[in-house]
Amino acid sequence: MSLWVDKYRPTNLGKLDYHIEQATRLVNMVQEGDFPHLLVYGPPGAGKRTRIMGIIKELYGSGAEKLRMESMNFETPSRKKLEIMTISSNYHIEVNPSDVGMYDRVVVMDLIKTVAQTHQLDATGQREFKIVLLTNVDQLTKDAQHALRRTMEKYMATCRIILCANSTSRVLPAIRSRCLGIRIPAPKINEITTILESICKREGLTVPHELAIRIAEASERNLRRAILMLEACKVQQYPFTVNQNIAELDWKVYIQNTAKLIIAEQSPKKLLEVRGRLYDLLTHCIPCDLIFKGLLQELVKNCDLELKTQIATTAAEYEHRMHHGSKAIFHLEAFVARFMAIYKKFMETSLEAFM
Amino acid sequence: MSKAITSYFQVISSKKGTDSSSVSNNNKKKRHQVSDEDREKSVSPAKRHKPTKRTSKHHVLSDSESEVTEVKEKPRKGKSSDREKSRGEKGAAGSKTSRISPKPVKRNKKRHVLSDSEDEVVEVKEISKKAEYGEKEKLPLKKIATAADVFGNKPVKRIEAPKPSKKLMEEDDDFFFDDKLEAVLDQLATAETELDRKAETSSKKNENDNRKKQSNGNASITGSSKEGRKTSKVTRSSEKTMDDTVTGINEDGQVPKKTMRNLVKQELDDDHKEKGSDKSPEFETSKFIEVPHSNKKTTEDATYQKGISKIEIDKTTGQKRKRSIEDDDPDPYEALIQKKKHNSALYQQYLQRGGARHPGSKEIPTGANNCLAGLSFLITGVLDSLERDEVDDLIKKYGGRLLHQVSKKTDYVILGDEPGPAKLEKAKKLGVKMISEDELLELIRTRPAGQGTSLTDDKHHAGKEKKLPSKMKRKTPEPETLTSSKLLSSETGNSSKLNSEISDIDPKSLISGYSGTTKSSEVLQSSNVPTMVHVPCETDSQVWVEKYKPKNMKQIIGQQGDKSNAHKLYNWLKNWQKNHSGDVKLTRPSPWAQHDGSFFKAALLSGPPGVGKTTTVQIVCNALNLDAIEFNASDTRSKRLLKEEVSELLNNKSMKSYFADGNNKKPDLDHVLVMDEVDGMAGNEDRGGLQELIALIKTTSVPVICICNDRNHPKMRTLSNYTFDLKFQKPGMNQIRSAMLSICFKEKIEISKDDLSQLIESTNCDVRQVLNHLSLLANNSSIDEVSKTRKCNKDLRLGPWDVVQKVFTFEAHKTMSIHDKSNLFFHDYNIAPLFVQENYLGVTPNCPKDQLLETVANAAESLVLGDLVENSIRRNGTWTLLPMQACYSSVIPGTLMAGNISRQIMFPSWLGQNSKRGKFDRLLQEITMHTRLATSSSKDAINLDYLKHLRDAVVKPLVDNGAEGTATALNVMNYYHLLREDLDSLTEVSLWPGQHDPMQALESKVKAAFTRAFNKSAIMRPYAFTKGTEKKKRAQSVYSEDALELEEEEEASEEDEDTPAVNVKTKTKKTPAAADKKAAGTSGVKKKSSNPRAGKSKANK
Repeated sequence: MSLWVDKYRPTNLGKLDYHIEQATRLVNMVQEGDFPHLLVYGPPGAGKRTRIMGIIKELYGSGAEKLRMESMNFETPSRKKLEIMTISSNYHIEVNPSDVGMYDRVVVMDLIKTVAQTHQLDATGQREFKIVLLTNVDQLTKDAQHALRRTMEKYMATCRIILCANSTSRVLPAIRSRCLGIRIPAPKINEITTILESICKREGLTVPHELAIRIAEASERNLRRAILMLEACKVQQYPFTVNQNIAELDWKVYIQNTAKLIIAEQSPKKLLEVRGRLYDLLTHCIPCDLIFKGLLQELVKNCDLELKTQIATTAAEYEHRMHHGSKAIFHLEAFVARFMAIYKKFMETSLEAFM
Repeated sequence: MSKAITSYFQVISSKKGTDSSSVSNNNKKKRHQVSDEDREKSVSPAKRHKPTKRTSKHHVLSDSESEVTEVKEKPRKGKSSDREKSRGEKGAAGSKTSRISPKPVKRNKKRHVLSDSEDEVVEVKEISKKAEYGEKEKLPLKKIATAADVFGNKPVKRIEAPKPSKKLMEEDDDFFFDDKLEAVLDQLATAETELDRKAETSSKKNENDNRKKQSNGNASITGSSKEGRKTSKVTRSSEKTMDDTVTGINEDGQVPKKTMRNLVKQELDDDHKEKGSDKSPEFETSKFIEVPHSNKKTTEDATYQKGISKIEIDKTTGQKRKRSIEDDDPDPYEALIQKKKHNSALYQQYLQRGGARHPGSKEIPTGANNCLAGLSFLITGVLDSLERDEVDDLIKKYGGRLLHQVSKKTDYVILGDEPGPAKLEKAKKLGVKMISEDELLELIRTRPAGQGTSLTDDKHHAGKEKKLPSKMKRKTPEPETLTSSKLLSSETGNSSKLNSEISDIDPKSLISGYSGTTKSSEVLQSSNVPTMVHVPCETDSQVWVEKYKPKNMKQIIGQQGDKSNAHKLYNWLKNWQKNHSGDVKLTRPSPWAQHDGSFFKAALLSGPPGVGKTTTVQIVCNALNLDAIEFNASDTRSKRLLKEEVSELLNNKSMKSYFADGNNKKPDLDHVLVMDEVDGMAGNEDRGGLQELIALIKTTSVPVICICNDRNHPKMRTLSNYTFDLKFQKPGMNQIRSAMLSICFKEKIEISKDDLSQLIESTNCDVRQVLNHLSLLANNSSIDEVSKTRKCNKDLRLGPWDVVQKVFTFEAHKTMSIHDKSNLFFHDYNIAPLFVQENYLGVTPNCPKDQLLETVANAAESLVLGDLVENSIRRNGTWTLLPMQACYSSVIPGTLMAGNISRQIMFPSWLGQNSKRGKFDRLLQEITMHTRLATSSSKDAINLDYLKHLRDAVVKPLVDNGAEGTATALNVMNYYHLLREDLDSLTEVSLWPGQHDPMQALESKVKAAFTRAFNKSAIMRPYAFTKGTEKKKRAQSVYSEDALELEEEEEASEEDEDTPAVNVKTKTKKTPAAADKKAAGTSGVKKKSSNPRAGKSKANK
């Protein structure tokens, strides 16, 4: 038994529910027999991996579905032993180099090179290239991305590299230009609702349209999240009602509560308390940009327009700096401190004006 | 008159010859200091009456120095012959005092007069010097003794021994103090105390001279302005000190003017209190305005141009100060309060005052038998060369009587440094004769045997005479006189003639001789043979540390009192046999209670190195006639050795007792086991040593004394439960200094009090190290060495807690330059930014309340920038940016938030939190890996979206259906290829603060059933997991038992660590006790491992 999100995942390009036009183009591209390196990007929960797996299956047939997991070992120049898990079929190999953190460069260089250098055994009836699928490319270090550049050109004959990323902004332009970019936009609300409804139908349930829309909106157009939410709702209460409570994600709630704390009182003491909560968020591996985003969204709710822009600018500045620094808590805390200062000043001046 | 002075200086210069370039330099400096404006002012006294800043300053200077100046100047007015001077001076003593008027009206006038003369004198001097040394270049000069100390107020010297006094004069010029501000301020303080005394005498005299004064008032103004052209030693010396101040300021770059102001103010307060209400406020005024006055002079000096702006600030502050003082009305109530405060301050001072200033520096004369019979003495203050009990013995030996309170029957009050003001007061009131130590010795020397003159007659005709001796007493040799004259001799180097002259003349004798003019010659003769008193001079080859090792309990620095550790140890050892013979049943004392340690069989002496722990033990053992069997770190002290050899030893008797005379009455207890450096019992060699030592202590039949440095070291924790705890504190600066001064004296090292203080401070009050430094100084006789030591201050390493304390404490900032602040960061730059970040919110900054948040935000922003810089440093190896990081991460936040720390200083939580994050990240990674085939989503997606749903999918059936739900739960687990451990990590990671663990709601029965079912199912996983599970299991089992192993475990498994600090944190978290130390230690090592990328990239290219 599995979760619906995995149960009803389309397995080939033909079964996709949305972006159908794009899907047919992909099919066409594959059937042409050859294609350049691909860079598939889009927001989380849009269906990137599903499409990539569809492409691979389209290329190699069902043989590509026989997956195995292997762990590969590497040694860094500093003699540190690395182990990384790969998923591979006979025709492709999938790696997330960022699993090994700062040593991803070694993985890119060694693993991809060895895979790319070997030719397919039976070239007849199959493609003469293998697929190397690298996920989370935007999390690769700059070093690793540079290492990738040359590899991509050098082994063009024997392999195609498919890169999967959330955003291209953190992918080197040099790599972007070597790839055919395929953008997978997030599904629209109505697309999500139809999918949710179809899933319910297949499960033999009925979901009110309004609830489906509410779920879709709550999921922020993240299909994976929407389906998981739907299932959670079902577990929570069935039959569905229109005004059913949709369980928010824990971490989101936590960020929102933190923001409320900040709004409630501005003082160094409160800042200390907020720091503790920020630490909680960070230890739970919530990406820092999401924390920034969540805080900002909640904080600006209490501000007028002028203040909004100021806060947003501040947040952007601190978030930018955060990516250049190493300790996220410093930046988050500095942002909160700055917000407190601005907000308190604003409140005081407006209070004076009121008096 | 100018001619006279010129000639005077020429004499000196010719003696010094050309080699004394240093002199010329200083002369030059002097010259610069004289300002044209000053001169003009002096010419036209009318101008001066304007209430300008400048004038006020003038007043100051002149005022404070008035008496001394006068005394010295007058005689020189007409002729330069020594005799005339002396004659003139006597006359001047009278007229001088007349000018000091208690009335504010007259004050001004008098001051003008004095200031006049000063300025002119200096000018003349300048000219004469110019002629002689005009060509010479300025060189940075460093000399030790301070002019103020040297010349303080001893006109005596000039008459009695013209040569040395000239020398001293010259030296005065030489002295250019390139020292730190504190030292200067110290000097100022001492100078002021002297002034105080003067003030007292003069106030007495005021009564007599009131009439004279009246008549002299106007005349003196004009007269002295005409007179002009006089040299005033004291004035110059005060200028000297001011020089120092100025240079100090220049050097530091920043003006700690606040500090200075505070200090002066404080002094002022003290003065005020001391004098009470019976003294006119003018003395005070003069004292502190003295500072800006000479500052002004320096302003004109080209050399000091840098400092000008700062000095000018000082001027204004000086002005303010003056005003504030004038405001100060002698309100009786306030005076009372101040007195109270003053008393408590005095008591503190009393507690801290050291022993004799120059023990052993004077010869103790042998007087006739009972020569002091019938006389009663009272001692107050710290004497120059004799300890209190030595004086007691001395007086008693000669039949004198010692009193403890001043009464009419007291014949003499012996005054020392820091005398008790109450006693002084009373003595004055009763008209008791006050004498110095020297005079006491003189008394012993000269009094006939058995003479018992009654005091009363003495008193009767002491009426007038009293004043002179009491004045003399104030002019008794300061400790510096000795050292400085010595110093002088070495300075002049080549001029051996002068040298010999000076060294032949004992300055002490000079002075005492002067006090009694007729006796002087014989005194001189007698004092020509200097003998060391109570220090056994051994062979010079001995190391000083050994040579000057204390020989008895009294000599241990800082261990004199009855409550000292040495005494406690002594008593404990003495009573050991009695306490542990089995007769007495002892109870374990509470660890906080005061006790004599009788319960314990062992003592643990702890304290920083160099405070004399081992020495104390040796001496105490000697004193009790015990043999110490010592084991120190150089001996192997393993369990086996301790057990076999030491325990045997403990049951033995030492041979000594048999060889010693047969009537040894203490056969039971004749040796002591001393385990030195027990905290050094480590490593394989000494394995099990501590445990065995403890076992040994439990059964021992002899006392055991353990010595360690760090009492709080974890290793010592067990041991300290079985030992009598004696914590040795570092001895105070004064205590060390007095001891060291006496050694310096014996070894003929010339070092000034301040230099010595600095040396002691720089070694952090480590007696042994001070001695080592001194012996180095002795070997390099050149004066350069001395000046070098001034710079090579030993930087003390502070722990991160101390650093944070300093970073944020407003008080500490007052004296710190930006360099000092950034140096704080470098005490441990790995951990410092974290400490600052952790604790800056716990500070209450000194800023307006409405700007509080703004300040906090700015501090936070600075920390952010610091983080950016640090990242750049670590990533690119740009270590040159480290000072920049120091600014951002420590200096700026520290300055912004400077205030007082209102919260306990915390260890950075970042380390712990980051470790936790690392752990969660690893768990997520595992889950992602295991579920990858099924979910095909990234780690973030798993974390943000899947986690809770996945957990619920497994746990909910179990919660809802109990054991029946196992199948469903297993199904999910299998589909997602989850391991049993993954479920735990799932729940752990997905749990937020304030939420309930759903697994906790499960009955243990259900849980067990589920686990069983899971194990039974044994479905093939697509990944190799055996290793992982084993590791985990091991880790879990190990967790509770041995933290160290776990550390290794984690280290091995942690692959994605970004910064060295991450590594640090894993360690620190596990062993919280030794956390900070380890962090500091490991971070350095780990740095290397974090750098591989740099090397790697090279290799790959």
